[in-house]
Amino acid sequence: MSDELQTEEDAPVETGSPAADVVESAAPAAAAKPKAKAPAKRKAPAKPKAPAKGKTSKVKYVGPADQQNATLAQHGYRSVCEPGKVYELPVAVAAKVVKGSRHFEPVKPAK
Amino acid sequence: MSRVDAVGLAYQATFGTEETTMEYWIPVETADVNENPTDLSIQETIGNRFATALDRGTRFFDVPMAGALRAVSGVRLFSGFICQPVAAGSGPYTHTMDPTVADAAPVFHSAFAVRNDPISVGQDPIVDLFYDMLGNQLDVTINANDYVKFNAAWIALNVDGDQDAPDVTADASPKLKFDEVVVSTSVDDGTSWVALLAAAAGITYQNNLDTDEAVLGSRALYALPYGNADAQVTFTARSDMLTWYRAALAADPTDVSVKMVCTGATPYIFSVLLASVQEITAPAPISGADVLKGIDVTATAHLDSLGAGPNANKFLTAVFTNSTATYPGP
Repeated sequence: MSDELQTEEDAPVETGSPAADVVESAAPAAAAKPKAKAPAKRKAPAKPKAPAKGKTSKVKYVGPADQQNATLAQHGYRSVCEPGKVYELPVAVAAKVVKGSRHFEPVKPAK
Repeated sequence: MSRVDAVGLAYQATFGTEETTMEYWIPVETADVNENPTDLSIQETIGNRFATALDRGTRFFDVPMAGALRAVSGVRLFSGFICQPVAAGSGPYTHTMDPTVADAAPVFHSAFAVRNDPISVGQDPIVDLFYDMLGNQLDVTINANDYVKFNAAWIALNVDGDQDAPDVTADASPKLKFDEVVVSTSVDDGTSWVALLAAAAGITYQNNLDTDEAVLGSRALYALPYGNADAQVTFTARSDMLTWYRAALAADPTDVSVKMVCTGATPYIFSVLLASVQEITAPAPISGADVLKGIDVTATAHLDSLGAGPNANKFLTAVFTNSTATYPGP
C-alpha cells in the first residue's frame, strides 16, 4: 500500500487531497497520534530528470506517415513518427537523427 | 521478425556525388552485395614456377535487394528502375511512372547497406554507401499466401566505406498482400478490363544497363548507360485456360493488355500495367500425378505502337497511391 502511495507523485499530500485521506484511513494507528503529519514529510519520488537547457535540440519530422524511427522510441517517443511533430532530443542524438534521414529537419531555437 | 541491419535509399542529384542522407530505409529480406572486379594477370617467365601477385582492374557493384513491397518507399525504389514519378492529386497522391514520357529515364540513387549485427559482438558495424547507382532488373512477384515481393537488382559504380552507421527511419507502412491483388486483362487496348482468376503473377522489368564502360586513367566505369527496356509478365491462369493455351499456339501472336492492381489499406494502392503483351508460352502438361488447375502463361511486353485505346503508345506504367506529396527528383 505504501508503495502505491509513493508513486502518487502529483498528489500534494499536505493539502488534504483524497490521497492524503487514503493515507490516514489506511493507517489508523498513526492517525490517533498527534504526529499525523508524518506522511507530509514523505518526499515525492524523484521525477525523471528534465534535460538541462542548452543540451537538447529540436528536430521536426517532415516526412510521410508510417515511418518508424528506433532512436525516437529509445527516447520516450512513439516509434512511428508523426508528420509535423517537433521532437526534443539530446544534441548528439538529434544530429544523428537528422543525418540519417531527410525527413527530419533541425528546428532553430527562437531568439 | 526483424533485424538491426538496414538498407537506405535516396535520389542522387548529381552523378559522382554521393547522398549521405537517406530518404527511405526499406525493410528487406536480403541485400547481398557483390563486387565485380576485373583481374589483371599475365604469364611471365621469372625463373621459377610459382604464381605471381595479382592486380585489379575496373569494378562495379551488384546491389540486389529483396523484400516486401510498400507503397511509400516503393516509389523511391521504382524510380531507379523506371523513371522519376509524376505526382498528382491533393491527398492521397498518385505517383505515376511511365517511361514512354519524353525524357523519362531511371534516376541515379545512393544506397546505404548497413550491417549492425557485428555491434552485438563488440565489433564495428559494416557500412557501405553505394552511389552512382541505377536499377538493372526489377521483379515483382505475387503468390498466394504471400506478400507482394520485389527483387531489385541495382548496379552501383562506386562505394564509400568510410561512413558511420546512420540513424534509421524505417518504412513502417503496410506491406501489400496477395489477397489485395487483382490481375485483369484487356483485349481492346485498355478500354475494358476483365478480372482473371490467377494463382500467381509476376512482372520483370529490365533496363539492360551497359557495364562495358571502362576508360583509361580510372578504375571506375565512367558512365552507366541504360540499354533497351524489356518487360515480361507471367501469371498462372485458372480461368480461360483453353483460351490462353490456344493463344500461345496461334500462328500470329495476339496482343493483350495486362494489369495488376493491389489495393491495400487506405490510401495505399499499387498498380502495374503492361500496355501490350504477346504470349510466348502457355504449356498444358499432362501428368498422372497432378491436377491441371492452372496454366503458367509467359508473355513479353512491347510498345503499344498500333493501339487505339487508352494504352496507345504505352509500354509499362507503374502507379503508387499514398499520402506522400512528392519525391525529390530531377
